Amino acid sequence: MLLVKVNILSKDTNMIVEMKNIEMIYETWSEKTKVLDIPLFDVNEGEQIAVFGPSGSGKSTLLHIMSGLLQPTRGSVKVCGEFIQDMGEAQRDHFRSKNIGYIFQTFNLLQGYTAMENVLLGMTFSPGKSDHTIAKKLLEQVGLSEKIKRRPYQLSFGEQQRVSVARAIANRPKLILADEPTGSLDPHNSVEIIRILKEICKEYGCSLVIVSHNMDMVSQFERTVDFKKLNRILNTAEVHL
Amino acid sequence: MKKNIFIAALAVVVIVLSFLLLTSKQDSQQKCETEGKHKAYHEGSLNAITQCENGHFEIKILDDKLEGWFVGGGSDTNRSVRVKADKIALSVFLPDGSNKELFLTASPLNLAGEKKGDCSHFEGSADWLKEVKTFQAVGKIYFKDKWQPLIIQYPEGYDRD
Amino acid sequence: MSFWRIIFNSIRQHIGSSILAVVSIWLGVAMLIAVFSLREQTHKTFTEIGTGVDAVLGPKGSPLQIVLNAVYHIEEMPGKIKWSYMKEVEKNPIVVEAIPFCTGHSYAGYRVNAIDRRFLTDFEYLPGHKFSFDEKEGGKGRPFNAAKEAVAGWEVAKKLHIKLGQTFNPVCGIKSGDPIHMNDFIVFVGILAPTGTPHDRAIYFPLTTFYGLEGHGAATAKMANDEKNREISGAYLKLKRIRNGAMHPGVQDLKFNIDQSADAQLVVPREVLPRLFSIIGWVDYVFIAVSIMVLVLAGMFLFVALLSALRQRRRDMAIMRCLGATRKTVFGLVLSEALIICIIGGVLGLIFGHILVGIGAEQMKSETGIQFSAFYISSIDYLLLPSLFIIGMLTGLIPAIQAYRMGVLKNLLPVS
Repeated sequence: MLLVKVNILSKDTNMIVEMKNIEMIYETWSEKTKVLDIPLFDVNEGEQIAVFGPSGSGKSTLLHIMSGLLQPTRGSVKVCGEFIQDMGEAQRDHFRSKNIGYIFQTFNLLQGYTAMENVLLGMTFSPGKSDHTIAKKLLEQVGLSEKIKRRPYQLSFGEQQRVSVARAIANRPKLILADEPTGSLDPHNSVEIIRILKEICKEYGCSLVIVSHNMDMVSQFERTVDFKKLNRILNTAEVHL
Repeated sequence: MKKNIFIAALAVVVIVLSFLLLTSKQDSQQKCETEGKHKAYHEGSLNAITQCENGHFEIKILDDKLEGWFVGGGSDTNRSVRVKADKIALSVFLPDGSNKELFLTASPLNLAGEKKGDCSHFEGSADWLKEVKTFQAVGKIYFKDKWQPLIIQYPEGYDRD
Repeated sequence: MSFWRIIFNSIRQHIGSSILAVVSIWLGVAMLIAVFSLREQTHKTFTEIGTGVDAVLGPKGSPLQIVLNAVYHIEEMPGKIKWSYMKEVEKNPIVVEAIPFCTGHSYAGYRVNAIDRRFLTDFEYLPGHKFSFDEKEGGKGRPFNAAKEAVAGWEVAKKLHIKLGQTFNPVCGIKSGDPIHMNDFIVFVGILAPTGTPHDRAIYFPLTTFYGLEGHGAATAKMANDEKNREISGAYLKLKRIRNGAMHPGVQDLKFNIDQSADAQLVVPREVLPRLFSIIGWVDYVFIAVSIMVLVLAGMFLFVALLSALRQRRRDMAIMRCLGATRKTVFGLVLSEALIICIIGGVLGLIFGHILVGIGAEQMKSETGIQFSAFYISSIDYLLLPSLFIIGMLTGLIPAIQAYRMGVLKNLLPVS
């Protein structure tokens, strides 16, 4: 029997993410595999939470659903006040460009673009013009003011991830999703990245959801979520607030 | 991928060859059209003398005047053939059943160096030529060293073949 | 960052294949432009120049050779005709005027033609255009009046730096090594204003001078005063016109009559030239076919290059989708890239093609005196950019569709 203890926050706080009865089933020719079974997951506006769990447990799938990159088999996903599970793909793409910033474990920078251009790309697909001034300021904030013209292969992993952070925040999203942002970094850079991420999100009023298996990194967050308890497929889950 | 490139290359070759073939086909079509029928140089009617390859007598009627040229056989209708005649008598059969006589007199082409008795161009006139739409005529002519019948069908021309 | 920036970044990322695609399109387009421009100008110019001469009375032989010699001052006349015969022809009611000439001399590689003075005063080298010596039009001096006087075409005068009062010795022949009339000094008294026709490339002196040149023999010398035995190379005939300036229909009868003679024929340039073009027309088609093949191959190369580039950029496309680009956006980016490469190649080809025509024009002018223009807009110029647009669309379509259908998540690098 699955037990989920959830302490619900004050009803006055706005939810930036509300996911209910989420099921994700992958189908192939021969079989169906259920990877997610989440009765409830929510994030408050301005909150910074870390979801921890073992590799391959489906944490990235959760982020993909939250960002609209993947549609759940069942359940409702409300992000920034909009139900995205029923949106068409193009609509979800537009929604994502306006409201969500994504940070990947492997940075996923475009190799043919400079740091500045990678950050500008974060603004390109959302409404409004790309602003060089904002991009430059963000790169300065992440400590790369001297390296804005460098291409990813000319930057260290830590620097590349900083560019990724700047790109994620460039279009002023309401929600930043970070999938193992320190997975490819050494401990020193990991700490730096998390610090920068938290500061920037606080400064710009973005909510932050990080998924990781690194408990040292997770412990820096006030609110953490044990994915094993969240996802009924894995085990009984207890949500810590 | 390699299959796609091969198909695309084949398509290109087919397109270019078709283009070239189409162009040459048009040329050959034009050639057949002109070879099928001999062209009358003066846009008159061509009457074969005995047979087409032997020679022609081209005639043209304007008002009451008939002009005739003795020209080569086959496609040589632009080359004149001189005959030793000052006059040619033609018996004309009109559609209404009546018969007429028409005399053509030699009218040498002086720029061709012709003279009476050695020329290719003949003329005749008659009032009834103004109204006539069709007729047949016969005569005789000493053409290419022998006497040969001269048969005229106007306007379609005469060719026993 | 604008979409154009993204496209140019993409082109830059596979710059080698992009440049090759641009260059191959450039070459194909340039060839097409040059071939069409030169072809159309050749047809137009040769036909136009031919209209200045109603007919040429010449000796028996190739009509094309007669036209090339009489109108374009190349080739040689295949024989001679009698002056008296020309006079007979001139009596024909449809002949307005006959201007006799003798060819066969040269100077410094340019033809020297002996001709009746009326050529310089009455002859229309193009309908409504007569020769001029007016300085305002680029001419100098006057027509010849005396035996040892000559007039130079504009191109000859320019190339040989001819001044009025300067003398020359004509060469008896048109090949190098032919004998020179060393004791015959002909003085230039006039330079014709430019006409844009082959007449700019010839020198003219009086007909009577021709017969009197030293070394031509007594029989030829006698011809200066003996019209009965005089021979000429040919004569330009001006014929009567009917309504709307059309040639008198009697020209066909006149032609028939003259053609039956033993020694002469009447050649109408506008009838002969289409035959020339039909003979050499296949050469045009070969060039056009080659140019089209180059373009098609360039299109195929671009197609392959785009597909290959897309394969390498799958991750980039997936990242852009993550950042909010829709399927239509990535479709548009790939298609636009193909279009831009085609249009860049096309514009460069258009410019280069006209440059090629300009270079060819200079060469043609110095060889034939015929003026071509680098700025001539041929029929293909109008079709070019729309065609390249279509080629770009076709070559970019499949890669763009592949980009459209590409999945996002499976093209991103491993996740947790």
